[in-house]
Amino acid sequence: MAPPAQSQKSASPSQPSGKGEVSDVKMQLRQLAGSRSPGTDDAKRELFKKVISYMTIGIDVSSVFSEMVMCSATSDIVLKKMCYLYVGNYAKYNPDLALLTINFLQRDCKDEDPMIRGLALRSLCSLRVANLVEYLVGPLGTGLKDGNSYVRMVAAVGVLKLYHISASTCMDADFPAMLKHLMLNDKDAQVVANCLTSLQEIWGLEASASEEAARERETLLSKPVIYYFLNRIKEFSEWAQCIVLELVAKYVPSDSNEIFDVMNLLEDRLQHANGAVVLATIKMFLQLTLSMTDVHQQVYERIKAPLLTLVSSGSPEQSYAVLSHLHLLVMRAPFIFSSDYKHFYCQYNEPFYVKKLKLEMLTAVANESNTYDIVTELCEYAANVDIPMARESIRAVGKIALQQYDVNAIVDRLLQFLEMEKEHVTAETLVLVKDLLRKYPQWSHDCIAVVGNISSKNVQEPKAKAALIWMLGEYAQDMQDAPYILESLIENWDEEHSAEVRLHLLTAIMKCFLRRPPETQKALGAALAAGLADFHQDVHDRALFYYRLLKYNVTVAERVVDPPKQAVSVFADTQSSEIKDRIFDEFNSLSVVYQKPSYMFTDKEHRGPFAFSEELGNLSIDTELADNVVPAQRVEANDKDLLLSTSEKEDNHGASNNSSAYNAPSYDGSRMVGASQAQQDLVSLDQPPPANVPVSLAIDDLLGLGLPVVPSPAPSPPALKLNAKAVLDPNSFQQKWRQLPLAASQEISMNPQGVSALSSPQVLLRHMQGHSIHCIASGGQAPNFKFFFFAQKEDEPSTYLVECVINSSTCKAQLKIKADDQSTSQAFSALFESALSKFGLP
Amino acid sequence: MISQFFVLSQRGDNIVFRDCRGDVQKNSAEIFFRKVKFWKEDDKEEAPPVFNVDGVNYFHVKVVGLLFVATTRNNLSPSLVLELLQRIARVIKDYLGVLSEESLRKNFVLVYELLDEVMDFGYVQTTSTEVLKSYIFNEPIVVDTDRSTPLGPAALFMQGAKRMPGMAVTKSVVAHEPGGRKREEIFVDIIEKISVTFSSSAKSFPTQMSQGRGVKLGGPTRICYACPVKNRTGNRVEPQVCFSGVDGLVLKVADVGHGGKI
Repeated sequence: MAPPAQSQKSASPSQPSGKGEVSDVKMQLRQLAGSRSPGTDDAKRELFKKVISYMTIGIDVSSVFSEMVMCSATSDIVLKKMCYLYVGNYAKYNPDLALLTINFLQRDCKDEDPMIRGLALRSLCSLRVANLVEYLVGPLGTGLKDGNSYVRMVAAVGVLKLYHISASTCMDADFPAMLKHLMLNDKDAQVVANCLTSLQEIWGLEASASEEAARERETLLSKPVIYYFLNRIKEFSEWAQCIVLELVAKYVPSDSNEIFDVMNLLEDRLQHANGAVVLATIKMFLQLTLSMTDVHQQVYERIKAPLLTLVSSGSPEQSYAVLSHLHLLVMRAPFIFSSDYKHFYCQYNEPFYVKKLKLEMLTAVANESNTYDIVTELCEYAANVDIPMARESIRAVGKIALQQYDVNAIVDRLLQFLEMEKEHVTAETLVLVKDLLRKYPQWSHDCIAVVGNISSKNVQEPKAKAALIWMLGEYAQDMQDAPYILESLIENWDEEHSAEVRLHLLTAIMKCFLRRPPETQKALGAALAAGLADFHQDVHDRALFYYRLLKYNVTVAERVVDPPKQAVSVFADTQSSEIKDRIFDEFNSLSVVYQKPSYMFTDKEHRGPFAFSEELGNLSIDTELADNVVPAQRVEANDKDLLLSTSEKEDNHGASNNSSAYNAPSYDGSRMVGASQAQQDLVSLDQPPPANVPVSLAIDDLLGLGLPVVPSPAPSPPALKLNAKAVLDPNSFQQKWRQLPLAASQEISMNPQGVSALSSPQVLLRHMQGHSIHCIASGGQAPNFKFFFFAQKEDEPSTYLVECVINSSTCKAQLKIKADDQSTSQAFSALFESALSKFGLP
Repeated sequence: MISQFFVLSQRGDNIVFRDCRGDVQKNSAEIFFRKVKFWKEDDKEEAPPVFNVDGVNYFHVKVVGLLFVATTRNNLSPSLVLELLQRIARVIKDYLGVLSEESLRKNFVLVYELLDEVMDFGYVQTTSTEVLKSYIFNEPIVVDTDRSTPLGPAALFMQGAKRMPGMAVTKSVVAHEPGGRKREEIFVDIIEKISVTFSSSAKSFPTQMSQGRGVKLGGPTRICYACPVKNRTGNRVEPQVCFSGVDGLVLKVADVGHGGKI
């Protein structure tokens, strides 16, 4: 209930100062308060409107509070609404006055008109005054049981408001349980939806403190609840559908039939006019089929049309949101939109933010067959009067060229840009030509011929100038004038403001000198002298370094400054695949638009629907914040690896294992590579899968290949045998951890020798591995270590999950065990304990 | 869930401001407007519809020059919030008849009433004009329609062109017309977008345009069809095909196929 809050700031001169007017209104209100003559309500309406308009423009009208409350004894609903608005705005700042309103609001909560009951209850809950919460409990309780759905709807949200004012009052009154009952039984869909949102928020916030709330939150994802929502999905409003779909996306069906049932049921949601519903449905489809490669591909095909419709039919803002998602999808499956590239052609009246995304899409979908068309279109944009657009287009052309399709033609086009003689075009193109030459040195002759004709005076932008200078140095032997152009640039050393350019100039002149000494010697001397006198630290240091290097030995200098170079095969990707996967997990959220996982831009308590994944995620997050690349410990059970080339994946795994606070065991890493390799083989089916590599069961089922899981002689106690080569990827771990109930939770003491041996998490991992218990993530430093372990039964796919927190100063370990097969969880717990107790013993 | 909703004028004045959850600072509108106005990050001219400043996410859509803004600290679905903002604009337009700074200022009580029912504690309740009718009691103060500009992308085509204005386009859903309100009119904006890129040599790259709309009309009906024949640069453009079948009952505007002849 807050009209302009900054209305507190001083009113503009043209507006009334307020004092006189307010006391006027006060008088009139007082007269009307007792009057019962006809027409009073109309007069009151006018006055109320006046009060509220004062309030909106920033005049403090809190002094008429009691008069307003007195006048509110009316059956006129318009008056009541205005009064609630007024009260809601001032109550927070005047708790004493707020007490005055409780009485009439409580009375209104019992009004016979359900509309008034609802409105009064909403206002009552919106007062946000902590010492009034006791008055809320009663009306809320009756509101939840009200015969009218409007009142129940308001009450369901009211409970959440109460929770935010005073969580303990809300929990003590047992409102969550009432909401749950209402959610599962109410006839009105909006009531059900409000119960769901309130419960999600309450349990989500409580979960960290209370086991029970965490359990309750998990029951929201249980099969009966999910089915209940799905069966009613068409009754919900489009917005409530989004909430339900978001919930279903987190549900993990037990088998593929269930997945197909859910998808068939929701298929028609893809045609919904509301983009939010469509995207929520798509997210759900993608999440459900992650483990089913071929179905996942079909999903891509299926969602294509609805997405393209959304891009072109909605507002530019909506297009922006959808295009961001398309971009994410196209990175994972480049071919899906390759024949639809014309949808991404820019229209003249689109805002720049949409055009930019479209250009990114065009570069992403370019392949052998469409590159020619796309580049032709882009070249037209390059001549655009809109300078930022022209720049972006040229960059896009360059990016496509680096993708290796039709390079020949593109290089020609780029060179044509240079002849357009527009400064911004030339500047952008020079930067690109430089990158191209680094990748395709074979084009140097063609490029150099054109670049050589560019007068360096026409290039002013530092980046472009640096690129030009780089080329002059790199191809000094092919460009007749190179030494002289460089010389003239050096003469103007003092006018060059960009340190980047000066650095490049130093290096270029060095290279030039090494190739054409007689012509360059003089310029080099001048450059080194200027460099040594430079006020910029880097420039000075580089000049000094070159000088000493040359003095020491020219051959060594050549080896340092101008060694034979290898062409760059792939330019570094800015985002790790880990981050990309996390963004994909957060499909249909801001993460996609910002291209950052949520932990990078939200506080912990606001992560909302994605909160759960943090429990495991935390471990890797911390390392990233510490600027360490997390070793690729995830199994790429998703489609990505299947779609992209193997080489990229190997890159990911190559950069494993650095010393960070948290380490995934290297053992796991190598195993995962094996496993995902096997998946690849399965898909291509051109060679029989290696029988000794266990393959995750989902894929097993999917392709109907009953792969023998090789038993291994694990030295474990009787009763329960564990599979020594168990494999589980972190995603499934998270899903299971979320789904399964807690089977056992206990605290055990460790023997001191064991604890003293626990110098780093790795030691324990190796030990537990000997007992066929594998670690999926670990972290921490003395004295607190945290581990997530898993194990599988030897002869059946039954998994045990363990969270183990070890405090080495108190020699205690806290265990939380979850199991597929509850009946054996005790046996496993005993086994785990015995394994742990042997740690550190010789 | 949304924390705040506000509408800003082109100059950055607050026309409507609603704080749903109180977890975003009060001066967010100022922060937002400064950011949008001075958006120059890497040469961009216009701020994107979604951005983040100090952990607060700002969503905005532009409707008839007004900025409809929502803020939140949560990681919400961008398409949901942007769609919602559009819908709120549409609902307000439905009730006020005309969406403009003036009509908003005159009807802010009604607008707050609408917002109360559309959102509760930042969660969307309904955006259906029909459903809302049963909750809304204030009556709109009608604003002079002549000075108001038409809403939406259709405005582009209507510059200077004759169109059928009529009261219906600018009429509130709750306003009662004196002297019987028995005018049976429907207005269908058929907006076809053609995108053609001309090269400097005046060669055009053929682009496909495919949108067909079928409108069923009951009884003998006079159909007025206004076809804008001007392009952006003001040159007269002759559409090749406009209708492919008018048979009294079904008006079908069929695909306009063109191969660079425009």
